[in-house]
Amino acid sequence: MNIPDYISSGNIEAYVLGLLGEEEALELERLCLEYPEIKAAVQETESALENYAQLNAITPPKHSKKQIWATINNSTIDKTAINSESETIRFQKTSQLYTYLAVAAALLIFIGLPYHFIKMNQYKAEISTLKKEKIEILAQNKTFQAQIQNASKELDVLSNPATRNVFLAGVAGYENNEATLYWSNSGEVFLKANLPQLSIDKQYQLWAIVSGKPVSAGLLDQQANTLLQKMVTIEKAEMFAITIEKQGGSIQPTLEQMVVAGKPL
Amino acid sequence: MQNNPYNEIELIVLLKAKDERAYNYLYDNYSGALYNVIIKILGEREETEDVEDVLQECFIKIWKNIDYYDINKGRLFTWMLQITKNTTIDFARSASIQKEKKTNRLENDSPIIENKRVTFLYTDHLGLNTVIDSLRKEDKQIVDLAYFKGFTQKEIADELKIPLGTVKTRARKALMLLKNILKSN
Repeated sequence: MNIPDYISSGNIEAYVLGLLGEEEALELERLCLEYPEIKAAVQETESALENYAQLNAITPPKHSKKQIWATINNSTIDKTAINSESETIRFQKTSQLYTYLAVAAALLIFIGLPYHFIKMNQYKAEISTLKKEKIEILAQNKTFQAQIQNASKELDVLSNPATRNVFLAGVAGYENNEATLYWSNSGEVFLKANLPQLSIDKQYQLWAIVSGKPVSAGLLDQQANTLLQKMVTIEKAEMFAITIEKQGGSIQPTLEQMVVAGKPL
Repeated sequence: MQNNPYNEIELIVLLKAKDERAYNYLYDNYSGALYNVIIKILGEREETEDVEDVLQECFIKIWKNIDYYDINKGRLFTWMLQITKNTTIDFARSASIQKEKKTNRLENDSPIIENKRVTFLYTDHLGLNTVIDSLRKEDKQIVDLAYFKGFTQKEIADELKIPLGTVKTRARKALMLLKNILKSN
């Protein structure tokens, strides 16, 4: 930064005359802080112009001095008075506003409390119902899962090509009855029966004829009549048959009460 | 030139304390220079009452805003002059708007009233008229337009019909001359 060059650039004169652009003026003010020579040049120019202004001075009318002083004092007093007054009014207005707000809040609480109490009880009841439902649904879910597992096991057995289908046809007098038996390689027996409802003291029983002797292959659940039921595992059998027995089943089949029978192919 | 019982810092302290002595000093020393600026901006034909009103407004503003005056930014007079210029220019604008509304009633003002104001130049008894006279007319013009009337660089260029770039050079030349004249006096 060449200070003499800057001082003779005309910027200082332009600044004091108010001709310098905003950016240049800001720069000059900054330079004044940094370089005392520039500041001194500005001050010199300012006082030269101040002297010039004084040379051009025109005395105002005599009464002016007192009049202006009176106005200054009046206007200061008036302004302060007005200010403090409006301040008080504003304060009063604000405190009134706060009162209204407080009353409104109290009313809201007063009206709101019983409402919320009722609502809360409703919600509590709803929550306990939902909890019960949830437990039930979970239980159902477990049942379904078990059923699905069973079903998939059964499906495995049924879809296994080694599983044999044994058709049990209705014997004389029970021509409309029939049942199908699925017999896996490992001897698992599944039965799907289509048999008429029995009286409460009677029950269907499946028999396997092994080496000419009847062996119980389990009782049928009449409730699950049309569903596939898992029966007792039978490894070998020449024939299968279902008889009507007393509730709880029999050790020996009542052959007169045979409804369906069939041989594995 | 003027009796100066206070240095600038003492004066500012008194001013900020809103002391009447400060007002007296301010008025006695600066009212004339500011009065001239107001007349320069409003024009010689302006009613004396208006000029007085504007002067009063300027002093009230100076008085109330003295706390905003920053001694590091320049001399007190420069700050007062700025307030005066702004206030007067604002007045002139609102007055010209009102005048237009009055369908140019004063259009045919007699030039006779131009000299109705008695002007007291501090310079007379000190022979400083010669100081001002020794400035060339074009130098004086450029300083007066910028310093007293608050013209911008472009407005001066338009007014004096000179290139924009010349304004700054000529302003510097005029101020150098002014400084020399003041020094030799």
